[in-house]
Amino acid sequence: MKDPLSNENLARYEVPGAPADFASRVMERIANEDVVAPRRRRWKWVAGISSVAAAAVVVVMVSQRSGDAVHDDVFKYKVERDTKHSLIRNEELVRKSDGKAEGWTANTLIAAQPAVMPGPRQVEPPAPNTEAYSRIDDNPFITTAAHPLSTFSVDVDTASYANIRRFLLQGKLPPKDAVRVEEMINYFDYDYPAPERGEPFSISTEIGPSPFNPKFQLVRIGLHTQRIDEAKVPPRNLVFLIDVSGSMNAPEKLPLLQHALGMLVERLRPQDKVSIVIYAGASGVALRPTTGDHKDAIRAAINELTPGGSTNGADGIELAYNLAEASLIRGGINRVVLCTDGDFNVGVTNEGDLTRLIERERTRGVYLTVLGFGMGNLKDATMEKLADRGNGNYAYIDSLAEARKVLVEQAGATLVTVAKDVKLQIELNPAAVAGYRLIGYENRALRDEDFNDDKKDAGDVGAGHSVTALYEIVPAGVAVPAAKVDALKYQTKPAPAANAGELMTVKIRYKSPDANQSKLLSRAVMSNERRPTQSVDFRWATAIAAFGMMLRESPYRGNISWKQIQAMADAARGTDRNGHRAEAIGLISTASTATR
Amino acid sequence: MALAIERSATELDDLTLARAQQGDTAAFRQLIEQYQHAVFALLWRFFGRRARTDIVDDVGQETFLAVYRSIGRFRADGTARLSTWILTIATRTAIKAVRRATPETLPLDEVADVVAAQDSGAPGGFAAALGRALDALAEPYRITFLLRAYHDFSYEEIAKALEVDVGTVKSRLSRARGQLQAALKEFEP
Repeated sequence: MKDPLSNENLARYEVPGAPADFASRVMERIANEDVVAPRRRRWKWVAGISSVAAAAVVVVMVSQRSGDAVHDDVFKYKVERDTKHSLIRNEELVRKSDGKAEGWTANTLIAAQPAVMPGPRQVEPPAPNTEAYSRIDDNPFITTAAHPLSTFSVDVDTASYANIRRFLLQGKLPPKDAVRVEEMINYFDYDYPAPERGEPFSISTEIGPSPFNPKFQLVRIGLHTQRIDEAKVPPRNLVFLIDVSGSMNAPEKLPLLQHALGMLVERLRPQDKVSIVIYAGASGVALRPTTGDHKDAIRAAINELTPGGSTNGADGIELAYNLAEASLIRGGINRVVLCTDGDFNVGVTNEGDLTRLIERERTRGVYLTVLGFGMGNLKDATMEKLADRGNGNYAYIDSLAEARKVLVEQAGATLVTVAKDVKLQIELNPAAVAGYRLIGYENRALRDEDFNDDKKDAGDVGAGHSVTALYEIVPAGVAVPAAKVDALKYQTKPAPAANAGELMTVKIRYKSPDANQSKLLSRAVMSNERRPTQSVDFRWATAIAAFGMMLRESPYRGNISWKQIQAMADAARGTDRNGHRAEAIGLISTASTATR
Repeated sequence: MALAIERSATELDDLTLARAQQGDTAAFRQLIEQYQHAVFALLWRFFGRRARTDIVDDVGQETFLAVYRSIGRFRADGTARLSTWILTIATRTAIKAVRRATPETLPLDEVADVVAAQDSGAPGGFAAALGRALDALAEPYRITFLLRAYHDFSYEEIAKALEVDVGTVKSRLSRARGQLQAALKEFEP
């Protein structure tokens, strides 16, 4: 051997590497021993990548603020396929380096992290997945002759869509039960006609082909409420009930919320009031009811929120409702906004007591909104239930853009409830419809007799909201798939000439926000309403329904393929003012290759 | 003769580093995962026959805690490599640990077994012999040689890490090589 110290020889002296749990143990010590890291500088934004179809180098721009000066840094960032990062959409801040990063959508690339960063106390949890979803079984086909009525409560929630997006951006398919098709459809804006004078809703219907079975048809029912001018929004009394437990210490949780609240503060008017109640190990008032002209005080309270401790939601929620009542604005919007990652340990109070409290407060005019944050610990089912009991809505906040949508854009007008306890009942005409299936709204089903029962609670609709429901219709003469009952023997064939040509009648019951008695709207849908081509909105809702059914692996999805869904969605982009549809198209593409 | 055995891994990307400097624990964890093996390789060879799983692990932990405390001071302006910076901290932590320990209490020849077990290829026993030869070097020579040969440090980087001047680094390296070559003579043809 010539050189005993050749590279090759040196390499023979092998030594062990670090044990597999080494990094975890170091991180634990950092957390437990309170190791302090002097931080170099504070960022306003931290960029990150969601998930890309292929490894790529991207360039992201990060703005940081020191005092009044804003300084931009540009980072090169290598992303592997399936890289996971929390992210916030913010188009302005993204630049793509080589244009080769296939499979991402340009508007889903940046993660934001507000300037106020909590101390580096949290250990990356080895994260057992503790997300909980209620089981959903797709609504089956029903024979019209046996069951001509279909009744359900409206749903303006959109949380499911944002939650699905979160999974897909990580390159994973969401759990089937996390997919609520109606919430996906209702996430998007549709160009429905404005309501007639004096009526809270417009009802529009459209008939087209079913993408799931060439012999079937789809009927789209769209409700739309009047928009309210921002200036005419009644004064707001918002009590934020914020979970500051240790689990909220992640960039996409408390810091994101703080950032979003900061944006909301900008929009507050002197007649608006904000209070903040925090809960964790103990609960307390972080901000007494403060009017919108004291923006600095509100901002200071928001900035001081720091996570720590375990969660006990019950004390906090009582405190929040007490504050809301103490500062109640008659004729205004009074709302408790619960912000949590769902680790909602109800502690001394059980869930039953909690829902009773929420229901009682609802009758006093204080409604509940639930905002879900973060991932891995999301108690989706509990949160949706709580919001429903409180006449409220439930939204999942996965990004700054979503936070802005919910807290800023919708915190004004859409918090004005235009109609409460809104129920839909569809009566199908057996002469024209052999069978039908309601797409989505599985956990919104009502008994037929509940429709006229004003004591039965149902969903509420705010100003400027639209609600869409799709029915898949089996025309008369076509066999109903897997119909659960035999043809009825003793029923007379109903075909009254007066109703000839009617496919169905859509009935809506609703109450004015302060009324106890419901009003009825109804409208017949004629078979000959079907046009040779369908509107962009119809095709979009259809594509999204197909997207959802595919994610759910619905038994009713027929032979539809990802490719077809993609093509349908592509052709139904419309004007897409806010880019939501483009984003969805990107998600469809991601889903087509993702695995569970 | 610089050998990039432990340098095959690329440096941590800028953004993750910047995040770690912000106190982002997930990013710091990534940093550990990126550099832990290089740190362990340096420590195992540096402690040589006195190496023991728990000692190396302790010093490894101390190293990354020190990195965590001072990561904000690392200048990510391209003039220094993060790997060099971290291995410098590992070097100093290891030297301190050796000076703290009393030699009598250290176990004997454990590493020789490890090395012998791993030394499968020809020339027979070379790795064990190299290990012994490295152990026989005085500590300043050994660490200088390890940083240069296994971790791709430049003379200047070694000088900075050990707080000596570049001339000293060069003379230590040449003496270390001379001694090692002499000790490994039997493996020459």
